[in-house]
Amino acid sequence: MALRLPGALTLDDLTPEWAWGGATGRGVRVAVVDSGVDADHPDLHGCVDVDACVAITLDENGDAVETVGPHGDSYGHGTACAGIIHSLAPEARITSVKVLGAGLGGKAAAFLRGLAWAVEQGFDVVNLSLGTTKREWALPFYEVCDEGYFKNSIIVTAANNIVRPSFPSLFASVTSVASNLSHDPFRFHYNPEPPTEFLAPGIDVDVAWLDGTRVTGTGNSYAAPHITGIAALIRSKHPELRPFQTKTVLWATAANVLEAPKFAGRLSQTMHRVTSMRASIALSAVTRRGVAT
Amino acid sequence: MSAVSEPVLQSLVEAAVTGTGGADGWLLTPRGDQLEVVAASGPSAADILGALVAADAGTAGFVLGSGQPMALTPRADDPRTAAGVTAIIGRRPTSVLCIPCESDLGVVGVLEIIDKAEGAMFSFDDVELATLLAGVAGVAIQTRDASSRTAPAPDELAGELRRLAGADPGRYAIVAGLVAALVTDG
Repeated sequence: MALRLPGALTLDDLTPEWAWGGATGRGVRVAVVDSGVDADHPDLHGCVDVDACVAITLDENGDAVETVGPHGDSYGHGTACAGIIHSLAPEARITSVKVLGAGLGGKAAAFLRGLAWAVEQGFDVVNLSLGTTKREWALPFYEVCDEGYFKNSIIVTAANNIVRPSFPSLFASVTSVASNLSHDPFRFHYNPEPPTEFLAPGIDVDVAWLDGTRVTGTGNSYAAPHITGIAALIRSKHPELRPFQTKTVLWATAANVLEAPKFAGRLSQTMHRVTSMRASIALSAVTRRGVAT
Repeated sequence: MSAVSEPVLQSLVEAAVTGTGGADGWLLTPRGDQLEVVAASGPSAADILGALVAADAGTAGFVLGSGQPMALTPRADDPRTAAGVTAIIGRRPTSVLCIPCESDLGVVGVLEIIDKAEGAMFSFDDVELATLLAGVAGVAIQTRDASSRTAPAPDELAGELRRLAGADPGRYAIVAGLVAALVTDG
């Protein structure tokens, strides 16, 4: 356990170079909880551990059934997320946890079981560009996310794109991400008005898609895997960091924090800069309308 | 295929298409394991109203299942043919905007718009506008569904009463007495 961040005496020492300079994601396991991943996509370069992937379905009683082994992507969304992560952390190993597709109908029970499985398997980083707006599932997701946090898994979620509370993106134990206006994959921002804590590229993003193709997509779904990829880089270089430390490193290396004037009260300057940006529906809704957690 | 779309849903789709600069748009609601086009706007509206497509495939299927909106622009050299509703129209879209219609019951429909003018990509402003209209559509769909559930046809009601008489004579007696009193007083 790291009692001090190695080589970093003050927060100002937490630079991108310190955080992920030279890192490739080697040694880091990432779970993509989504619609499946087309492991054969040429832009994934074999980064998917196909035999370890799992598909979650529900039987006639509503109980989860886990099927381990290769599977494809029903929609393209999971492949897009995996592609973004791989482009940032090319040596991180990706495992697909399929919770959405034919016969599933987007059941929250499948989402929950998929996330719980990833936590049980001890993945270093979990990308969940999905969620549920059904409040009856809030507590079960809360419990799984807390367990993940304490078991040293970083769970990265996409903030809801529309004006409704979505779980688990509202919980403190996860890292919730919405879209910024950048097209630089390493340019992300800290949002000082949670529950969305970071903003990453999610507008007009070039992503891998079905049948080996690529499309341009917009949405917080594509912002979250940017943070997932960077978190994977950080963890590969600093495997001793726990989720709250990794989140601190993300804060310190966010563009608006790095670029803020170095004098007292500088965060108040960055707050104005972030809230004046046209970031995303979720950000504007959450910060202006004060959605309760 | 032909059907009659409901005025409120029709107006919402028209507003979404016009406001976002799309060419065609439609509203899909679940019908069993498929999605049905219940309102449509644009040159292809008459061809697709009432059409049924698979609910577990395509952009609309993903949005229905995940509750996540999607804005996509395929590459110009993408050789894949259209799928879902666009296959019925007979052309591959240059851009797609797909928004979930949510209500208190969850996602009850999908608003899909294609082909923004001049080959442009749907912008964040378009996502915001479509989201607002999809929210209204979600409420309208939920209200429509609730209304249809609370007014069973007479034959259906008679069937339910016969089943109740056989299964629970005590409850049947109470319900039958209430119905008889209401009908007599009316």
